[in-house]
Amino acid sequence: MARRCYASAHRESPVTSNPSPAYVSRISAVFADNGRGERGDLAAVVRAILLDPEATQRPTGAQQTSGKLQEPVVRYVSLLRQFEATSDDGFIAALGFFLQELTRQHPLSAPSVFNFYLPSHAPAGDIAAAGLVAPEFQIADANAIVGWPNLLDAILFGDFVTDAPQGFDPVRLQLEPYFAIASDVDELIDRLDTVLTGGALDSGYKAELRTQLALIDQLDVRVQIAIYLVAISPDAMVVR
Amino acid sequence: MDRRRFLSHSCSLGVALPTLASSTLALGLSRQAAAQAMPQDYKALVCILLAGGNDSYNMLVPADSSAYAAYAGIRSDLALPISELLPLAPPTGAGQQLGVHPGMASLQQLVNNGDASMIANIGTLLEPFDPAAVSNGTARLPVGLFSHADQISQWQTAIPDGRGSQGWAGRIADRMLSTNPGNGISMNISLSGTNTFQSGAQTREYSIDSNGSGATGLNGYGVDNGFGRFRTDSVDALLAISRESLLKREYARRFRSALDAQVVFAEAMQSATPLTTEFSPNPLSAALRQIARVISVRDLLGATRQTFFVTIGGWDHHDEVLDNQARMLPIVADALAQFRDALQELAVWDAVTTFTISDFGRTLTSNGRGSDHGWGGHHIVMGGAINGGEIFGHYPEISMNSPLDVGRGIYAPTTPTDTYFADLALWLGVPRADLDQVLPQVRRFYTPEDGGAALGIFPAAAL
Repeated sequence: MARRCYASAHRESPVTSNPSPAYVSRISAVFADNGRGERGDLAAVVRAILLDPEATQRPTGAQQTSGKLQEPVVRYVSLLRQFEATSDDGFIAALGFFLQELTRQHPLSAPSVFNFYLPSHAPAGDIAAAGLVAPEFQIADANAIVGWPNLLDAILFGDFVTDAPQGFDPVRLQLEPYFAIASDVDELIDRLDTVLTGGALDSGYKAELRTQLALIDQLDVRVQIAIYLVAISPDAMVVR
Repeated sequence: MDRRRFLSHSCSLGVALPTLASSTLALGLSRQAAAQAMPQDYKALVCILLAGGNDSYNMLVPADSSAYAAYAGIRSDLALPISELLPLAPPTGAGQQLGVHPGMASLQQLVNNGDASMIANIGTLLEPFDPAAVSNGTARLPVGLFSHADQISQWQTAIPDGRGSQGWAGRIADRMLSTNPGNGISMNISLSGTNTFQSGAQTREYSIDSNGSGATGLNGYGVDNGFGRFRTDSVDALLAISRESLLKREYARRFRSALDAQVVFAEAMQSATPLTTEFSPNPLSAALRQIARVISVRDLLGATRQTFFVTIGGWDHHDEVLDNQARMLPIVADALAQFRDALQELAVWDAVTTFTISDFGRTLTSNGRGSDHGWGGHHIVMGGAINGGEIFGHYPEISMNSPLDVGRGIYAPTTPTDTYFADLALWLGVPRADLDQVLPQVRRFYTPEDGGAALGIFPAAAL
């Protein structure tokens, strides 16, 4: 009982909102015995969660139930890491005011001890009807879901990466590696597909992107728009 | 497309200017005109959730000396001084004199003026409270009785013996789909994001905030220039691609729906009636002000029935009840009075009923400057259509040996939430025959076919 509760509590953490019962069983088995006869080896459990085939393999089947909507704070930090955010003084400092305003989430702003969303949240409609949960959707309301792309706009086009408090140097993204390949639209899209979605970008979406990006001659603008359009795609927003 | 033109639109964290809105709005109205069975009048419910469990025994207090003495005895260091209580003119049905918290002069005025009423000792119940059944362990109690998550949910789902994800306003909206405008704006509008109360099987809330039009637009979307057309075309094309993953579909659907709704909503809100009523600078007042503005454009939205939801948190006063409530209760009282003024300005006072809910009341006993999770508590209902200036339910006789006390001064409710919600739902227009589909366990406490009111909040003829 205890090990199943533990495994269930971890379920929406790194990988997917709705792990299969088999997945949960495999993880709870690792908790019981890490392969060396030891019980409760958390490192082994975390490793098992992340390396399980259900976590690493692409889902198949007509109705896919895998994945989880990434929450705004994680998306934001991932973006900063991915594009090697840097500053002259070496600090990546942020008050997070705009992050809070636009996405309704900030590391310190949970509305209650129950955090930003409940593990049981099931969006009304297809997801609830299928008996699934998708907790992160509880904070993806009409304003927040538009707020994130607007924040991306400010980051990519507005030279605002973080709202660094006084005394800290402004932060910038390092997009030069992308400017360098931007003349080849396919290579640019493929690279962004890899780094922002893990290669999950829908082929129809890629084709549409190719058409749209080819309209833009200025390579730095092309990169900024490409990052925006890939980052707001369902394939980037819902991670495996 | 050059960099300079792109940068001139950059760093704009504001709302996109809808220029394609008019045609979409007109489309919405023409679909609305074709809808069937539409009520000709307008009504709205406004639900204010005090999240955390408001210590309402310090909001509504016995004011006659012997009842007060019992209250002061059990509350010890939490008791408000009798001289500071603001008396309510109407006595309860049992002839008790009550007063409200010293910081709630606005509430006193609302009740004494007949604009608001109080609901006494109400809470989640599966059956009428029976102290003997509780003692011998045969009582059926709500799931997770003193748990925030469960109780806050049950006040929204009206299902105390389960853990549901749909609320009674969601179920009402599911049934009123034919009266919903075809422009995609839900009849359930939230100032506090996604919530159980307004979630139904087909219905979701439409979330707005208290700034500007309330609906955030995507930068550049719908703007009629080079940047805007590119933005609009690229986003439209990308969202149109269908997906197999349920979660990806849900994200794309919500994004699409938010874009479409914002265009319509922001356009409508440009015509919001300027209000002369002044609202205080706090989130609750700001939310109620925004709700008033939305109500003022109800015709443009094509809405004849609406519900609104706003949450104010921070009521879980395990510590410093007196200081915290001194700061927070006046905000609630003043916001309600300001909302009343705005609704009267808009001539919709009779059409809008505002009511509070909360996880639970709290222990009458003190834990040393604070109180802990309770059960029955007191609430406020306000509107031109209600029987104003009354105390509904039964305010308990506080005593050390009260049969209602299930321990530590936790008083069981004598009025179930079902009768509260039943009156509100019937007033909004749920047919009596459908009431148990909206409130699944209402028949344990009230038979809709009997006619008449459940709790008596509205005159029976209004239901």
